[in-house]
Amino acid sequence: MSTTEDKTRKVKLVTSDNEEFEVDWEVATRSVLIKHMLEDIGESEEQAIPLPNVTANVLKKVLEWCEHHRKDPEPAPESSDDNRKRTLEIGDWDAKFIQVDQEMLFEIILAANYLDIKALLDVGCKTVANMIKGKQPEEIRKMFNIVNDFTPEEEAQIKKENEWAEDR
Amino acid sequence: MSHSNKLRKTQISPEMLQMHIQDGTSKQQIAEDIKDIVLNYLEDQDGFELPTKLREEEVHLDSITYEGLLNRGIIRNEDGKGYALVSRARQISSRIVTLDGILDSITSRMKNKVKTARQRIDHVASVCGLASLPPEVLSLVFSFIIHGSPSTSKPRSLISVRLSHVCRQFRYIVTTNPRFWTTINTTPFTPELGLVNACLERSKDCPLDIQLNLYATPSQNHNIQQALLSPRHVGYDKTFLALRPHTHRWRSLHLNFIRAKKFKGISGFWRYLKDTIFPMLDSISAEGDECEYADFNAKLSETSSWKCPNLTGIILRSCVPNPLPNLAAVTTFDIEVSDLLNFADMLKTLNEMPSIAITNLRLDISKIYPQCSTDVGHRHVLEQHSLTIGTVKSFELGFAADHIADDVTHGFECVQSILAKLYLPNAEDIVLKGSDPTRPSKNSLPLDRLLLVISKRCPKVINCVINITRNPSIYTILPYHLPPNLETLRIACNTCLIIDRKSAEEEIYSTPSKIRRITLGVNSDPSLRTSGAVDWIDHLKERMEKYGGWDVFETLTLLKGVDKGGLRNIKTILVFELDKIIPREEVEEWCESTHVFPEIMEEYKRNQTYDDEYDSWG
Repeated sequence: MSTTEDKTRKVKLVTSDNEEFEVDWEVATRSVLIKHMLEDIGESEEQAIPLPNVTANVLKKVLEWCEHHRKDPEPAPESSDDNRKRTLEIGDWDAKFIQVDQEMLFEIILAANYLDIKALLDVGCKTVANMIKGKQPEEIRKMFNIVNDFTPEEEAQIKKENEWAEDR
Repeated sequence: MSHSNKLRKTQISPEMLQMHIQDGTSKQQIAEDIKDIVLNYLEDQDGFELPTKLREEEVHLDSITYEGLLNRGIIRNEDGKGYALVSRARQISSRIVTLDGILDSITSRMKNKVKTARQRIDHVASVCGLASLPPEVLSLVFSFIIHGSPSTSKPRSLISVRLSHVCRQFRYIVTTNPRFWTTINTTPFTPELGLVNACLERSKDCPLDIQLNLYATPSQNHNIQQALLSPRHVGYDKTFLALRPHTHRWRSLHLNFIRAKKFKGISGFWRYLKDTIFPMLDSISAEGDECEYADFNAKLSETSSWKCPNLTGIILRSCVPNPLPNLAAVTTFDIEVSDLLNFADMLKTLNEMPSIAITNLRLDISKIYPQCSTDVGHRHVLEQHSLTIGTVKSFELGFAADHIADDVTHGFECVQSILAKLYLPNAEDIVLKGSDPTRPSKNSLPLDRLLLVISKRCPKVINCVINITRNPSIYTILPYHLPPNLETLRIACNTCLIIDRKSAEEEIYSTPSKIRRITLGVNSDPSLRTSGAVDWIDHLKERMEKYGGWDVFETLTLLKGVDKGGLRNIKTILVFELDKIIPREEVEEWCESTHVFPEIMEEYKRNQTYDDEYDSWG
């Protein structure tokens, strides 16, 4: 639970390429990792949080997302079993935000995973899912230069499994 | 292609180029010339110099004077035709034209190389990016592909199968995650039993989401009268036999009633499941052919014997069983009615339930064919008690736009009589989805008409979403009668937009005083008239300034409706993308524009002008 004092507090973040960002506590704590680190260091405002797995250009983009979503409610703990409510739809702002080149897209996903920002990770993963959705295995291989590395035994099993999907 | 390019291309043809460079000496000369040009350019980018020999020749020819020729005499070409100096000038011109043609040809080919190189960046980035994802993240991507809606594959587990056929890494991740195998649905008449068994094995102990196909066969009674009266035989296929031992982990069940045709189903479905305990079942849905309506209802009512302690959702398409399973814990009730009789049955069934806890109600009446008030269906609706559900917080209504627009006789009357029987005093979130049925529409859709009724039946609406998808060339008339407690409004239409100026000026309409955010999704096709959206916002602003509420307004969000159908897709798929967010203080300035997307309109006009010029030029 955040206090009024927390909301006015500033947090320093240091990227792997040694760039320092000073952001509002409310923005920084969209990241569960940073939130826990802040809890660990307590009131020490001067201490910068090192983020050795994130570069400045990626963190800048991630913080842009956190800034926009700073007032969002805490994400509800997800039921690990229930996938039925999953949707591939992305909100209007997020859809525009994630219109970046492929390198940045995957960098954002990795950063969101490392920083533990579930909602941002979902936006990135949905974007990749939308790229793959509806494609046949061969098309997916071509898209990502994936080599068909199945053994002859596995190939035989795959051939058998293909019969389930024939003409569908 | 621009006009200047067109002209330039006519200066030297590929054949002429070939003539100039056909021998080795010429090629060598051209290569050296180009090398000199490039080196000269790199040394002095502001200036531009030809190769030294050409420049010297130019200087020599430029220095020729009348007096000099008088002194030295005029030399003619060997064949006696023309002057030798003019021929030398022609040779320079020819060499420069050749160089220009070659450089031009190289440039256009380089453009393709540039394009490919740029695409390669993204391609390599996605290969590296995918390879860098840890397995748990890749697994999350897969879960969106498999479970995310909308889905492209009917049996969803086939998506899991396809992903598992890409490579060994994908196969390991997909086959070892039980959650990727929990959705079991099969194709009617030809169920994929291998897939069903693989799903049951790979899903381990996870809860299952099941679709069962049930086949209705006409009675064998030879007496037509009796055959019509006797209930139809409902059979199942072998999918049910495989699923039967797993009822303890059925989480959701969808019963899909279809006509058996010549298929011979196995009997005993209802008998087998009578009084069964489904400890995990939280959702039952059913869908039926409307011709078999009465039969399915009779059969479905047998679900009331099932023991489902965790049932929270019921979804019904063209069937309303009576009685239903215990609704005391049901929070989601989703029904699509195709006839007024269906709706009357729904009222009867729900009014007879001892306890209702529905919080999310979805009612789709878009497939109803309207009848006049003296018709049977209409009379049945009138005979039923009104249904008040105080627990509903969220209400979604699917309607046919042509009913509201009165394209169909008694259309609006029909919608009114349905909504008059439904009172949701505490509904805060409403979604209104209007679509065009198969019938061709002609009339504009006046949203005020619907909102006036909705405001009475749902007096506490705070958030309202309106989505209209119909023939884009037919107008939607934007509303002024907004629910009084409205805080957020989102309207997304694929159609032309207009306002009713008379309504805009009338004072009888209430003006929402608490509205904070408006989101407006507009079709960006410049050939459609959508500037009514600007007038609408302008009028709303004026009304709110006059009657109160403008000071609490925060933002206007514009969404650009872009056709993602692509060239191969004949069907339009309009996707709304964020265009801009306009804060209150900038709304007035935005209202001065004559179009919702001025930049698109300008480009459209420019292209039209260019096309006209091009046609006249050609």
